[in-house]
Amino acid sequence: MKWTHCFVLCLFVLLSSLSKEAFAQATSQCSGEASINETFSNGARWEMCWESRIRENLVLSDVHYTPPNGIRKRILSSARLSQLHVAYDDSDVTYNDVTQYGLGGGYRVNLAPADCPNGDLLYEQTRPAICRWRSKGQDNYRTASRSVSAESLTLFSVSQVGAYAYIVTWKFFSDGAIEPQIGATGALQRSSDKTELPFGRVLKGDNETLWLSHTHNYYWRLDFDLGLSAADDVVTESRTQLLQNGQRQTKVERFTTEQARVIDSDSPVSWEIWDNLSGDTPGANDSGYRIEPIRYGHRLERKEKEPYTEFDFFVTVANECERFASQNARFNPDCLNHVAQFVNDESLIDADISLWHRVSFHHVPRNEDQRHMHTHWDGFAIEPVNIHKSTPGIDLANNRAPVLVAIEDKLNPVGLLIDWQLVANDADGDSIRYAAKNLPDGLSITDSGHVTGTLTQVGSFDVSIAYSDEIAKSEDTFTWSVQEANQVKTGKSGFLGAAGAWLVIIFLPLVLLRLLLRLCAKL
Amino acid sequence: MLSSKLSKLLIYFGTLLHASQALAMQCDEGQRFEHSFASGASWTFCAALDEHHALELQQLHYQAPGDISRRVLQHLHLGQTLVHYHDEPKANVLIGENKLGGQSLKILNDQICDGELHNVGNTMPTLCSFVRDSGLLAKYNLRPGLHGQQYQLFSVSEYQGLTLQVQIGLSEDGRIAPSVTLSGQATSTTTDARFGTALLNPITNEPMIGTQATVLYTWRMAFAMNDDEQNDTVEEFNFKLEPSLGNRRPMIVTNLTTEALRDTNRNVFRGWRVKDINGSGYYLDPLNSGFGFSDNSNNWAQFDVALTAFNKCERHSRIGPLSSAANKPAQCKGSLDDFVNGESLLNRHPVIWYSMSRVFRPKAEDYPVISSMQTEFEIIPFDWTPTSPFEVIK
Repeated sequence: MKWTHCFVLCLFVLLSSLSKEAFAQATSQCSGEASINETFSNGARWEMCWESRIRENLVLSDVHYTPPNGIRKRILSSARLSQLHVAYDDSDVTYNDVTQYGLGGGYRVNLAPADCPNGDLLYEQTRPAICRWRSKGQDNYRTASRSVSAESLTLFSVSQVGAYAYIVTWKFFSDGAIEPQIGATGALQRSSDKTELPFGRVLKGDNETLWLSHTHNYYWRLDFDLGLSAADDVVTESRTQLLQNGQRQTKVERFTTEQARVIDSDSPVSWEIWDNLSGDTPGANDSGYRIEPIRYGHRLERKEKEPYTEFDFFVTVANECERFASQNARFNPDCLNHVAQFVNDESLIDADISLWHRVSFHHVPRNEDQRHMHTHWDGFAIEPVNIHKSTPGIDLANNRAPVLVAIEDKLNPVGLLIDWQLVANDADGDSIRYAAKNLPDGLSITDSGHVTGTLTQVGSFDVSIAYSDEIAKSEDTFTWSVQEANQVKTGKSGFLGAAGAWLVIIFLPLVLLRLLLRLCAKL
Repeated sequence: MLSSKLSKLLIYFGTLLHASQALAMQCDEGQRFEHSFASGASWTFCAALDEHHALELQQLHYQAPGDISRRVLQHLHLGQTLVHYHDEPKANVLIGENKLGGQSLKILNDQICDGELHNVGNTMPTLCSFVRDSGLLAKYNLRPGLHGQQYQLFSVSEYQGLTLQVQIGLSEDGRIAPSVTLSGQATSTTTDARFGTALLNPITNEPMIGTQATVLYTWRMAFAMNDDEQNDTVEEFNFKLEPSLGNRRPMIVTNLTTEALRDTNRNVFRGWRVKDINGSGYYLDPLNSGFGFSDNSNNWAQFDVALTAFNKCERHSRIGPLSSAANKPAQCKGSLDDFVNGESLLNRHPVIWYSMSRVFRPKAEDYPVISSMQTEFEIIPFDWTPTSPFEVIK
């Protein structure tokens, strides 16, 4: 073989051995200020590109997550707020702020350092466009003796549309979770001088103005591209219902065509998007993300006028032409106009998929809203499902299991008072929790391993002691014999008795023999 | 002019009176707490760790910047927690048949508490308080953004390996945010895939089906605004779409004058306000609610909200043998189904019971320890102050 052939072959083998994930890691669709790369203290990493568009303002793309000690994975090809629909209670006039005005361009507020006191400002050309804020989030997990707080990366931009200021926010957590949020602040927008009308409230200090109640409907568009291929993602819906016998059954439906779904208060629901599926329904080896609607207390529906308001969640085939949840044709004249129309029975199989989720908030004016409102936040959670092999933040591989100090079999009399502390050692210094099965009657154990009580029942008990550092669990067994008080003594004497019997067995014939010999001698 | 001076004088004396009440506040149970923010806002209250429901705040006073300290709630605590594993016919009752306080309370340490540890009647620390930044509190155009903080307290209880972090957040702007965070160990498995999720045990790598569970949290909020006068009232707000009125939504406000079981209704944006005789109040907007918790054993649990007249012994939405023993069993029996018995709310302190449910669907990330699942709601000041109390802040 010529050396050049060998070199080519070796190169081929080398390239083949590199995972496609690793190859993907080398690619990035942005650089410099437009690129965000955040590594957390647990080793997890988020990478993405951002841009500020005239309509949507903050749009994230090419979003990758690397779990702690895991492999980098593509999560989203893009994510953005796709409409901000506002309906006032006094009329059927609605506003579609993203398409009518836009959240970017001149509507985007140049942030000042005071807006971002704990973070850094990122610039688009010369304008400070977004705040990047790293913080400690809520607890990632908690056991009785330890807790870990997930860190988070917060990105936000502020858009001033009329009197309202919208804080378009994305949070990325070190445990792989994502939270899109929007904060509405600024000032109340619309009012009426007809204070007798029942469509708003007259606020303190201004008896001649009725501030109108209204609903904000936020629509997010999420273009998931999990893993290597954009065309193999699968969406399922999990719905739980109470059965007559009191159990609750969850049915999982795999979507094969585009969908528009409604949250039903009688059956808790979540939606999952999977990086392909190994079977017809999700299994232990499938991984993806779950959208759990946790802010669903308000719902604006005016389906005769705006058919898309009937639904809370949409699954569509990704189409660049389908950009806004409503008034889409305004900027894409050759395309359909709203997200309910995008759902037109296209197959989701082998298709790139977009998810759309709506959250509503009905705002009743209160005195505290004048002159400037406190932010009211809305959003939802996107959580990883089987993206990690176990709880992120717990190092299973390097955890050392506790070791119980050996317990010998026990023999005690009934009625004995027991006060016994189990002892196990843990090389990592973790707290240890204990449990026991089949303890003799009258005894109990605390989770700190303190066995107390009085033995009340004669018997032989095969006791099992489970002990755990809350990660690794071990079990030891021993036999605990409880006998009548006198039997325990008898037991000892019984042992002596048995020895006595042996003495009798061995020596009695000798004694008898001696007596016989004496008798014979006398005779 | 004279009347203006007189009213100012009255307000001045009223301010002194209320401020002196807050300062003089004695705790029947627990320990007195006070936290002030840089803006001048402050919270004053007694925190206790009840044997049955763990964390409880009493005599909760809020002082907005530039305002006086005024009481909002007399009692705030968990009124019940149900944990229903889907393959079982009944839910486990954590308060009454079990306990979240006493021996179930976990001892906290610096690793768990990124703030200040408190003993509160125990020999070991079982309560944590800390302050967290809550982001932009207000922003208007080019005015510098106003950042807010929240003061939080929590205790941690354990039930069969699960941990429940019972937490109450008190924001600078007067919001009160009770929550429970579920974590700990998911030990329940099933053999029936209808009731669980297929997983691999991360330690043994063997297949298993982790049991799904629905959790219901009921919070009890006993309002007693300002003083001990029993003059707070409860209103229900509905905003029903009227196609005949051109798709308008008239605001219908109804005074609730007798005890009632109520549902949230997301289509009419239903909410409830408790207000004092001056019109200052707090609003419960059930934004994080909507999924019902039907249950064959607990009729009351299907309702999202219950309104009752204050009764000292009606502390838990279902009184079990343990909690009734502590509450004079002859008087304290039954559940919310019994408490809501047509009593008038007039001239009584109103109590709002608010329930929320979540479904725990196990995933690999929940083994060996459940990724935290927080269930939170807020009550917000509603005309508590005549304007935003932060207007003067730069």
